[in-house]
Amino acid sequence: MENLVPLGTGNSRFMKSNIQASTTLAQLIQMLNNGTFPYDIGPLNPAGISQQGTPLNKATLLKDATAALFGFGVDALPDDMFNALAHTGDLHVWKRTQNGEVDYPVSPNPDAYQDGTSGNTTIEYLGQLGNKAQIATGSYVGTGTYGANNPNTLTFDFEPKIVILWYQISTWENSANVFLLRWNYTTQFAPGASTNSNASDYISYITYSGNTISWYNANHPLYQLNNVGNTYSYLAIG
Amino acid sequence: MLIIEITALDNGAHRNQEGGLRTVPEGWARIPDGMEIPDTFPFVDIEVNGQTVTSMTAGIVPEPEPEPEPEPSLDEQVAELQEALHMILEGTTE
Repeated sequence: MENLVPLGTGNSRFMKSNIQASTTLAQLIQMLNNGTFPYDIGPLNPAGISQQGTPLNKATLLKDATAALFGFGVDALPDDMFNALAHTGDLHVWKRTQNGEVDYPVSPNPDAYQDGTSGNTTIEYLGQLGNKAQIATGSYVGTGTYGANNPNTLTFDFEPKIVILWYQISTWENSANVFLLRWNYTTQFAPGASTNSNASDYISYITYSGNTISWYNANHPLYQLNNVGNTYSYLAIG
Repeated sequence: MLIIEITALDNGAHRNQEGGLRTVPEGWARIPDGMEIPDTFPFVDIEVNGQTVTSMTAGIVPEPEPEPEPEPSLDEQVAELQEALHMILEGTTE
């Protein structure tokens, strides 16, 4: 878009009015004072501008064809489009093949288009934009705390399906301990599990709340994956 | 984005998380890109404005918890049992 740039010489636009030629100056002033002076804002005067600027109208703000891509009609407003874009995860997508040409209309309405072939047009539903896999990766540095009052927590922008935690085994450069946790299902894991009678000492207990996972071990930060200065990595898939 | 829990734990450390987060959880603050991270992290003292860390200085790192005694391996336990059995059998043959 380009701005309109007037020269500032008082002649950037023309104006048209249908007042009668017999209108007196007093009548003109009274109409102006009363807000009843009629006129049309005329076109730009090239002699009074240095740059015409991009006009604001239907063609430049929201064409019918653009609105139709989102399932909107000819009366759609720019605000409707902004709202749709803000909720792209809610949009449904179709593949439309028409006379050999392909496009991908979207709509917040899941019934906006019907699957199938009609004449020379074939419609295929592809899915909802929000229903796509999301992945988050990251890490945290251990704080050295442990216990039910000092759980570890990880928060995500989405509710994962699984979370994978791992850390490098310091003595083996090419090895790592890996723990795969199924969201809202896995309730325990055991870093440093042993077959001896104190195996329960190694167990970390897991809870889930919204998009946050928490876990703690009652005996040692090592078993809570929370040793001071150690970096622990995660991968969440949802 | 690197985030840190605003309230420190009892030992002076702050929970922390680095990853592709769009939203900072309640009670946490974002550490701006480019802010120097002290070597003592996450044992740091911080000042925040809303949910953004404005200052971070080195804290005190406590002595780490002693490493737990390693449990004897299965082979070691079997060897102990064999030795005990051998001593018992030797005792009965005297």
